[in-house]
Amino acid sequence: MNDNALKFSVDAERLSKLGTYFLQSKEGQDAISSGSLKGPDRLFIALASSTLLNTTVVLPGKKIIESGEQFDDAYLILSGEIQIAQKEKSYKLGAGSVIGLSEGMVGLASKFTATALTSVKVKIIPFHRVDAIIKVLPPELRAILITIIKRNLAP
Amino acid sequence: MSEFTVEKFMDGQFICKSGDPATHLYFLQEGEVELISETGQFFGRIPQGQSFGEAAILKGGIRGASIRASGDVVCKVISNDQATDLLTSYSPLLVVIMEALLLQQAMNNAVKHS
Repeated sequence: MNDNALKFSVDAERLSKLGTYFLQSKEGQDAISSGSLKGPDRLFIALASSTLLNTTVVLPGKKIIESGEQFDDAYLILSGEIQIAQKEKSYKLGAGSVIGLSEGMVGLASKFTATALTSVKVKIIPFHRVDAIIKVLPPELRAILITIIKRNLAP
Repeated sequence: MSEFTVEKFMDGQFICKSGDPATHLYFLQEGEVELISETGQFFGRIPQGQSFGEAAILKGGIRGASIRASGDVVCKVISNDQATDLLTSYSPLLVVIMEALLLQQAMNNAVKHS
């Protein structure tokens, strides 16, 4: 899979124009009911408009994470493209991609190197805040999170 | 989570079907379930102690697969409103974490199937 193709991206420009409150609007609910707004689009709108996460910009050529490093933060790409290099595989990811969340929640080191190809705007999910919440969750709720994490880490 | 409804399903019974509105998520307390594709093909199994139907966190979502009981099954059933309230009660950031995990899942599926 060394084709450098863009493997995942939402249309961030279009979704950003819909605005912060689109999901709560009648128009937004209609778009959800009709299926014209897909799951990843809805998640992106919700996360991109969240005031709970800080935003930063990664300059072109800068490494976000190197293979073998532990994640201190996970990242949601708001705009721009990154290169993922993992052994023989190399591909691009765009807006809507989430980097390192499942890995960092279970303390796994990165299996890939992620490098900004363009100027990349990201939301940062810091693991010291994530860990503090996970510690106090009841077992069933933690099991739900672990179920999704296992699916994300499955080869 | 003790206040949530417990439902029992018999061997072979469909718990939810592909295309149905995703109104509830399920925590599998006893037994296991099978994942069935839109074309009726078996493609996976979920064991006891895991959850399924997390798309219910996205209010108004649609089921992407059917779920069928494999043997007798007991589930704790959580509505999408209850799930959101439950997550928010621990921390609003927990809703963000859940949404980001689901978005990472969508990304991984796209990468795997491209």
